[in-house]
Amino acid sequence: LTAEAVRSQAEQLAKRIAARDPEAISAALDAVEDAREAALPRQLALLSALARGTPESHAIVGLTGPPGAGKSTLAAALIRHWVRAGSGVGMVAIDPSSTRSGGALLGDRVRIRVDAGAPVFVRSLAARDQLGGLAPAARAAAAVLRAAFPWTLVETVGVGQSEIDVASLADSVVLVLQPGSGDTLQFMKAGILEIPDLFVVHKWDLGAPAERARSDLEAVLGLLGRPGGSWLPPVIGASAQTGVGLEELVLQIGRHQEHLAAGAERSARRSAARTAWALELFTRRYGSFGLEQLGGGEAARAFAGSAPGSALEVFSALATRAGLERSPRPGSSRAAARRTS
Amino acid sequence: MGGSLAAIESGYMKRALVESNARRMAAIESGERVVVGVNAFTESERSPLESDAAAVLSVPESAEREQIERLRAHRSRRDAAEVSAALRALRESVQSGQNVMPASIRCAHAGVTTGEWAALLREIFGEYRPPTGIDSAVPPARIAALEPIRKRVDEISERLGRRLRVLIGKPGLDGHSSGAEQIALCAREAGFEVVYEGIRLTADEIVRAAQQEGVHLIGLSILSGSHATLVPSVLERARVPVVVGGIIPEEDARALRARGVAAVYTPKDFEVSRIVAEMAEIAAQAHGVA
Repeated sequence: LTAEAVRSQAEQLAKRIAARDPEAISAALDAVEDAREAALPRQLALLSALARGTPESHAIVGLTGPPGAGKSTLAAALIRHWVRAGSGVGMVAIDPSSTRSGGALLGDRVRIRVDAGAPVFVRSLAARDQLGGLAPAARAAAAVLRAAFPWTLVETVGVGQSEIDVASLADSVVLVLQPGSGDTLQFMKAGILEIPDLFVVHKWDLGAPAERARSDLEAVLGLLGRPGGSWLPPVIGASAQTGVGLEELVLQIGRHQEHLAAGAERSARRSAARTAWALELFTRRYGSFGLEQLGGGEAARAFAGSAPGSALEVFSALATRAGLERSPRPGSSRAAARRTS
Repeated sequence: MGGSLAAIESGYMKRALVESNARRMAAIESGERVVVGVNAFTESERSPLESDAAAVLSVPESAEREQIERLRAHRSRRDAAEVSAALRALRESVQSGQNVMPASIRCAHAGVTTGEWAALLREIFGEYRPPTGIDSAVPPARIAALEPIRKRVDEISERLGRRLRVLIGKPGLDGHSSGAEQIALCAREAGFEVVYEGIRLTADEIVRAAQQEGVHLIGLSILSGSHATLVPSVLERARVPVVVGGIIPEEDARALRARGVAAVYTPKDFEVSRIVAEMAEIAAQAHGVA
């Protein structure tokens, strides 16, 4: 295929995705997960076409928290809410249940029940390891869904690294905690209080332990202090069971989006997300050797931050600058496929 | 643990069942456990169910249409005002947390159908999806047979560019999920990514999940005898190969294969790992990477 043909096919596919053709969305999600070197030109063309056509207002919301906090049921409640309000929703569910064999059980869909025909598209991805974190294709999958839907949820599991990971691709980060489980304490110890934009104390129907968790959290957040005019992360008591607090959560997510759009923060976040994605692709393929060719991590980041285009275009620019060919090396596709596990 | 209810909700009960059955199946497969008629003394007389066509009652296809007509007639005969009043009263008693029995009895007298009654409860309470038990089940130390399958699944995944992915679906109303669970568990151990959503799914839900999740293969498990209607409704719309497991007479199995089902497994196929290995090959063939 000529480069021109690849580009026009990508444009066609991007149009169908924008029109929410489920077959096209599914094909695109398959394509961006493809770890083979030969898949790269198509991925590049597709993600660039999508980036050009995606409305700025379409948002990615990261939903994270420890296992058992009820993220999936909360996600299901959010999805139903947005669908009722007339919005379509995409979701990337990152499942940490992968085993050493590379196998995984993707069971999150069980809790995401929506009416047949609702504009909802859920794709599960297996996390890199049992501790959670992003799946290799998570950023690309979120970009595909964001092209189709005003809201894209990305669900990750864990406390600590998972907030940092999801913050590097989402516009808004929601941390879900379960009262009476020591989650709050663990979270405070992890020292990542600055990252979430919204806090949910879930299972609010538990009563006193839930209220205690909220006041603990609010006390700690109060100590942090924020520069004037910046976003104060709300702490919302909610229960997907009873529906309490859901309206408030939806409202606050909307408020956070408005806050981001009003200033320079949204474009700053998206540009940082693009840089993180490009660097992730680059280091996954070329490792520290590749970074050395670019003069180290900081120099690479600075270059990536200033390069134009989509994340994959920035990745290509990095590879070209480092003088590295993108042709398959012996064993590289084998290693790449293992990384998809 | 918090009692039986909490143990059901947390998935503990289901997990223990799945793990116990996984150990049992692995022992049968390795021959460590002998079950007459399964892995020993399997020769037998021809089943009377197979030799005599009249031994199995097949429900004629007209039954569905006739039932729908009866339902329509029932609805046209009842007092519509009382039906909606009874449903309104039911809604009120559910929402206010009262005993729903008196309102339910009023519904029954008014001729409210089970479907209408349940739809209202479902609308308010939502639908309970029990834990599948397999997300956290610890599989038994498997027989060596799994090692070559793992290698092969790795190889196929490399050629596909992403990990081999299968959806195990249980369409229809039967709740016999042990077979589906064991296949799902073993497939995961063999290196598949497995999408499994538990029992009682519609063909629509299965087809949609298969598409959204980008699976390479669909495995359906049906033990209710309704394979003749459920399988085609998935098969017609699926873009990937479909295999079927369940209590399926040989004649029906032939018919399903003729319609395009890639493989049919019955309780005689006790070697779970062989089924999983075959599923990998079927997917590889269909996607041109065999």
